[in-house]
Amino acid sequence: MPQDPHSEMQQAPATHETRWSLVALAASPEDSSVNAMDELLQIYLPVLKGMLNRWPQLDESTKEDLLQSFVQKRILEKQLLSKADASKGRFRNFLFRSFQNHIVDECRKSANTKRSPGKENLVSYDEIQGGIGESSELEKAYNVSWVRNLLEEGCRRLEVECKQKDRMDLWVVFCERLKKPFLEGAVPMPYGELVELLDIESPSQASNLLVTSKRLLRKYLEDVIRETVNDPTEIQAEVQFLKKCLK
Amino acid sequence: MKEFHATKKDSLTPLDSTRTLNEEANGLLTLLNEMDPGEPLWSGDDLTTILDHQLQAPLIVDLGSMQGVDSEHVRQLASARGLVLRSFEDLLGHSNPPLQLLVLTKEFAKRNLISPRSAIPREVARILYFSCIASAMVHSRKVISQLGTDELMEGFSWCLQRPWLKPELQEMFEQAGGLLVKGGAQ
Repeated sequence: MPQDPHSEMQQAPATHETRWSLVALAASPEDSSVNAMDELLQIYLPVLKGMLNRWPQLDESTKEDLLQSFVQKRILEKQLLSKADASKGRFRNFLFRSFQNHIVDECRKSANTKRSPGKENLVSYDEIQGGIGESSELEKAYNVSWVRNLLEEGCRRLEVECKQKDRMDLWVVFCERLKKPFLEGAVPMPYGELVELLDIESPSQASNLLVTSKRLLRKYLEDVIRETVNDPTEIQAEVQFLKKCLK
Repeated sequence: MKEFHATKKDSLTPLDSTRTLNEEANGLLTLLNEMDPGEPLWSGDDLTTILDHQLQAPLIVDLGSMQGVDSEHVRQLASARGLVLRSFEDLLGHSNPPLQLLVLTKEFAKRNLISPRSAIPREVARILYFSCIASAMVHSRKVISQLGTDELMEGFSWCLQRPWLKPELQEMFEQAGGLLVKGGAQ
């Protein structure tokens, strides 16, 4: 194995458009806006879904209804993206406020529908009212979901790189010591077991692998975050902001 | 209308519904902190495991692999006068350790302490470094370091403040500190 895997794995994967350029493209009348919209929704819908997943009272069909109606009514019909303004802050905050308003509207509509028998009841008012709770909780759930998606994307890039470079030892140590414990609530695998599992010489070698994988994830995470800010110099400030949101 | 489903990335890690929102937020925060270059790289439990492993490592292999050191010479020192010194633990705990081996081990620790490519965490290398000095003082009443009394006392105190330090090393550092105060080693 190479002595310094970190230096060998410095090359970052291809970067994507920044979020704001993607938003502008998705909102434009160009043909390419369809693909941009698709990419944008694939990034943000899992975040919104992750937020809704926090409430077990909401069943799958209710969550899907809320997401589908948000895409259909707000994003497509009302051309929500054309109202997004980069000078007014983060796109994800804009999206959260819009989704929150959408939920409130759906609640009102469902309440009215309940009073008018025979009309289609898309989303149960009781389900949402009882399920969502405080708006500050909703915002924290959204932030948690957002950070989780950033970290998972960073982890995904790390895994791809480890596979490409035939360095699954790095990935295994990272998963067992960090990813599973902190993303999934699992107990970290003791170093002694990792030494046996990977057939390496010592716990300090396993520790070294962990240090290397941490450095790599930090780099990939910065790549992912870079795609969400206007200027690369904002990355560190964004990390601090995300930490604050989680507290 | 095209159907958009929030399942593509969502399926990477199934959500553990038994974790509360705060538990999940704390887990994510810890993982973000782990990426912070200012944070310690190893936990106390990790360092305990690594120190144990280093102390039990075959000293002939580690010392013999140092640049400029003859492994056969190390072997002779470790087995002279009927000694059976297989590990660093054997050497540090011996009642009459060969000083040349303690000096070599101190050099091994020092190289690992300053090398950015060392396989040993700095904290563990530092413990090993001061353990050699303390062992020579406690068992042979000799000072094998150019450091002054204050610097040695500071070093021993640093080692004693590590919560993951082994009890036998703790005792040795306390004795060495006492000898420093009394001037009981040369």
